[in-house]
Amino acid sequence: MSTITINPTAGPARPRPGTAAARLVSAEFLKVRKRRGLAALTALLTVGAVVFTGGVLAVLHATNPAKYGPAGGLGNLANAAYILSALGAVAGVLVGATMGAGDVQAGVFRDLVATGRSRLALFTARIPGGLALLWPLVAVSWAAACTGSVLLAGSSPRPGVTVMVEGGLWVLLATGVSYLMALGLASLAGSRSAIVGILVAWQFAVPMLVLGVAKLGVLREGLLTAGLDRMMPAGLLPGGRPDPVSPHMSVMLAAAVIAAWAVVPLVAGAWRTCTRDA
Amino acid sequence: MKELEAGQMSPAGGYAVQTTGLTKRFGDRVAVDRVDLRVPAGTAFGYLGPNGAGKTTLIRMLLGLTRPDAGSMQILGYPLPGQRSAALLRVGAMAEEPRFLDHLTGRENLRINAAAREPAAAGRIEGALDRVGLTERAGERVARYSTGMRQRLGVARCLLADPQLLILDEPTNGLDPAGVVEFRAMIRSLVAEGRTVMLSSHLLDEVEKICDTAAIVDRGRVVAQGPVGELSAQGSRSVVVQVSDPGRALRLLASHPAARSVSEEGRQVRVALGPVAGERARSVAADINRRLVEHDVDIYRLDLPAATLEERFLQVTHKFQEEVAA
Repeated sequence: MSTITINPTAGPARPRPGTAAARLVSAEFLKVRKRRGLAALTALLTVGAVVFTGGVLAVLHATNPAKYGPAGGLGNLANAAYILSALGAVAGVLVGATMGAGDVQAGVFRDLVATGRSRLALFTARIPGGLALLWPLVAVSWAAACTGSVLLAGSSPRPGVTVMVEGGLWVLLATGVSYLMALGLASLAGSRSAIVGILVAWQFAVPMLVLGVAKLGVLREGLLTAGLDRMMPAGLLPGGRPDPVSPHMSVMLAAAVIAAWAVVPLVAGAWRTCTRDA
Repeated sequence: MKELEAGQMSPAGGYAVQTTGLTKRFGDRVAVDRVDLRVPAGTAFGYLGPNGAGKTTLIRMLLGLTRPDAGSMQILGYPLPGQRSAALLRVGAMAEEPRFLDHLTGRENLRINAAAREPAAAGRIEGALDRVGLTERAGERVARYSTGMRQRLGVARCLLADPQLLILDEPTNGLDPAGVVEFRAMIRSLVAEGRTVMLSSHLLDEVEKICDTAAIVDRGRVVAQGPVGELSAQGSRSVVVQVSDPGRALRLLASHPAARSVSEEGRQVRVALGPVAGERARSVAADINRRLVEHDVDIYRLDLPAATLEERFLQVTHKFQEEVAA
């Protein structure tokens, strides 16, 4: 039988180097970066939020230095870390939910399965594919926040390199976990909007309520927020001490809590991806 | 019907698709019922059945999109689901209506699919677009594509596999008449290259014009299978005569041994023969002619309409039988 050599040399598309996994990741990144609305919203929630906050503080300081302190310095970098962890997490939810349910909702998952590629490989490729959009924007935001905190520190203490690096890693962790949760749950549910709604509500409402109920005691340490707060670099905390809500939580427990919030939804999503009717 | 023999599974000269006892249930409903299918390699094969007969479900099982409840299947000689990756490597499939990521261009959609295939698949994108006539529009977002363009892009996506087997589910849905003709020509050209095309359709005309062999499926079961010509020949045939005295002709022909039923339609008499093929049908027509002439009935016209797949289809599918019973 003849083989289909459909003008292999014609046009710009050529076989790309790299492993099968790398090609899949590249395809996942293409899917998400071409969603212009999502990419713009992600940029707005990360870079936009940091730049806007820094800009407002700078303007306030410039107009009334006696009342408003400098826009930079360690304290404002800590604020930026909180803002970025919260809004970046929302961005992570949006991107993760899109990556998790996008193929199923668009009806193209079946065509990918029909190529013979393993479903687990298809699922796994989504993880770095979406992070490739989210994390660079978070990193740029943090870099902007660090730059502003140094250049606009004025009389305030400047952050050191160590705290900037640790803070950056922490922000990446906070946004990454939200991303993975959303990816896993959206893969499980096959619905983007439902998971976005649930996780955003969870992100903003539930931790505030639960952490405020002292009677819950150590149960509060099971919250993702508690784990992340415990892992926040000491240099960015007020007075350099752990979060008062969970002062006795060990670093190991915090790491385990964070890992559980990421891994359990991912495993559930992978299982559903491998077993669902495509 | 010439029975297709089960045999070697080598796709070259064997069967591109073979299923044995394949069954799929949805609750109490049996969507695919013990299907034994043989798709000869290098042919266009029609999987023909009314809507809801289980055609798409069978295709979905072949592609690993859903799991069978019982039975076994092989594609291109590889057992499924055991060697699914190897089996589907050279399979291009369009299950149900083709779907795409609307925010991407046609070319980008193919890139996404090619990434899930072997490295060489990306090199086939431009050729596939060219073959389906979409090169000039490949840079546009799919959201702007018409139904026909989506259908073509779906075929282009199939071609990325350099397929030995194409599985197409209702592929001409949404195509305009010119598009349908073009599509038929493309299918035949693919078969001429030695590829196997398995085409699921509820359109008899489509299968009759495109396919070499076919299976007729009804309520999940394969009720007939074989070369299209032979399936057609098994359809009921009739001899229609226009005569000087229809009443007398009716009485004369009612006792003819080959006649299943005789009816008067104005100055015509229709003699339904049942499944008789080729030479035998002509011989019966000649005998009817002789009998009328011998009894001094003048014949103005005698027709032996060609057997069609439609007649065979109607014979073996439940909808027709239910109508007849009603």
